[in-house]
Amino acid sequence: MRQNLYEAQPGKEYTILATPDYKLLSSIGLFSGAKVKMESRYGLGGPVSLSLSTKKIAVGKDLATQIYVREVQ
Amino acid sequence: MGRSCHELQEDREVLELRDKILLMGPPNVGKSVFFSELTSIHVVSSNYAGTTVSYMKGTVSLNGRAYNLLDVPGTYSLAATSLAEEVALQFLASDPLAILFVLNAADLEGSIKLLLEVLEFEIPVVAALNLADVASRKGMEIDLELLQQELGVPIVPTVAVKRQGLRELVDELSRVVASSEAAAASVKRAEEARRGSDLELWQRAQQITAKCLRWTNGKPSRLDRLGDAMLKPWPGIPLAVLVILLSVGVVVGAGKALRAVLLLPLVNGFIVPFFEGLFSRFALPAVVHNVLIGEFGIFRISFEWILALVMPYVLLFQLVFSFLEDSGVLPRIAVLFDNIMRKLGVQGGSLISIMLGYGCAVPAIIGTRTATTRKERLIVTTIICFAVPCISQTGALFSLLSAYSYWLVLAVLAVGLLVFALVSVLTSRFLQGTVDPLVIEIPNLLIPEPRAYFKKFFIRAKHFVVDAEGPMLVAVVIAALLAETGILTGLSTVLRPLVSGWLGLPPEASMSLILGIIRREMSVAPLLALQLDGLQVFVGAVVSLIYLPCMSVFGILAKEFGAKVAVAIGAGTTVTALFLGGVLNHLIRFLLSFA
Repeated sequence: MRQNLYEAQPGKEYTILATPDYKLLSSIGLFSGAKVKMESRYGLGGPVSLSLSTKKIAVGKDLATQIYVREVQ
Repeated sequence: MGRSCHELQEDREVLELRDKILLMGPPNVGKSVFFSELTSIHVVSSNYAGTTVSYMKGTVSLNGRAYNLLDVPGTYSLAATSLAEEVALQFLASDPLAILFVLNAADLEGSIKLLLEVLEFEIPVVAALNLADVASRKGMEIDLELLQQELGVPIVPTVAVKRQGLRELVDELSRVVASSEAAAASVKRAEEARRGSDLELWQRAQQITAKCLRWTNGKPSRLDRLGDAMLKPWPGIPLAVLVILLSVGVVVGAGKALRAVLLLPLVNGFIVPFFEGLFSRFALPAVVHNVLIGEFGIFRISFEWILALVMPYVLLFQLVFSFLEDSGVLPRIAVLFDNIMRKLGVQGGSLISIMLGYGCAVPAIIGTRTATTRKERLIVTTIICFAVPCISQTGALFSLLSAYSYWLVLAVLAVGLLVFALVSVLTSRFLQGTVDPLVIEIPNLLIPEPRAYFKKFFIRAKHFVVDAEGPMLVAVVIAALLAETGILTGLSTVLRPLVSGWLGLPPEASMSLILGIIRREMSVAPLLALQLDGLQVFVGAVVSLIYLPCMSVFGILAKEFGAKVAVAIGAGTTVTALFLGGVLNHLIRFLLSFA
């Protein structure tokens, strides 16, 4: 099922399907095909935090809602 | 980007240096440690780990010769998405002899990807595989032989904070530099470098990582678990608040204690009496005597203000802030409070520059170069100039306010935060352009290694003494001349309608407005000597909080944004400070008349 990253469930793993054209995302390693594990979502319009290979990153809500992912079964 | 030439003007001299070796690597890999261990530092432009966006220059001795080692800002890529990346690109294009690249063993993939980008410039590279200890704690085993083969560069494993592997690294660098000099003509220019797409580079980095990295059972340390906990909303937010309160408590509390127990007795009991005795031996004219050692004499207030008022807070702040920076706490705070910052029109990442600004605005404004848009840089810079007092000023304000009541400390803090929020909301509303959302890597939580930590602390402390001492002494001399020659009396008469009529302060407080032009804390210091009531203390503190940023800040504003922005911020802060101060004075006086 295709959903946006902001709505992903903490603890589950996802494959990135599409990202907006935003250079910083690919330079940090978030591009379509990459696998991420959703860690936390922060309330009140906060970001989401993710595990991406060996590192942890956080992505603001306005970007996360534009990144589409599919859960890894 | 047209603005880059203007904003990066000061780098030109460095770009033209000969015999350059670049120190490069992703953020949070400990490049600054390599830099301070390998060099005798000559020029320090700024040194803020993880937020270094200016460069540092030092010399390193190889094969018995001195070479310039330049610490290039840490970036994730060379895509020129921020000024920091542009700076990195300019350095690469400036014909360096070699690159010392620091790989993060705990994030091999990301650092290999950046290295692949760097390798496209075809400059000889020596790599250090740093944080090997963190990687093995996490259960990663790296095949060094294979990695060297895949990347085609010599790699030396290091734990830089413990000086492990540094000698081998210098040997390897000497060798590479020697052969680079022999083949200097073959170095390709940056413009000609072939650039693979980000995706290609990531795929290649993934392949190499998959070949060279093996996972074993890692034992996450207690620190790793704390690092993870600090990142979750619960218990992360209470922990972050606790860390901030604790840091403020240590700086302010220990600063006050140091002042009361050690510095004030030293200044009032020994230093000032010594100079009083000294100067009374000569039959000096009264004016000269007073300028030297009168109530506002140079040899009295330079010690009372600089040594006893500013020094303790500045040093303690550096001590605490360096720890926060090196430990990896700051990016966690940025993530946890991104939601609030987003509502104020910026993003959590700007909090790192802003927190830096509570130390000193100059590195904080340089630090905004990590921002991806000019609008964000301008918002953050405006917030820092209007609402973020530097630590010297905070120390002075705290001494002034706490002598009257701790409630006043809280009241001024509340005004500061309110102005912070207002400036942020208004500038983000009315400035043109956009602010990009948060994208940030969260480093491992670390306990800073004492050697590297104290070395950094001493460099910063020395810098404060070198950079700030001059302007502070100028302010002191002006204060002495104003107060002890009668000029102040005349000036106070002229400014009386403003200072007394509007702000409700004694006329002599006009000195604050004059000295505040030079340095921020100098607008507070004269108030300490006046007999003020609670309202006057509050109004004086609010005015000096918002009033002009200091001269050095004007310098950096003009350099980074141009004269127009500097003048606008100067006029804006002055008008706002005086307006708000007067309104508060009259409003509270009016309300008190009912009590």
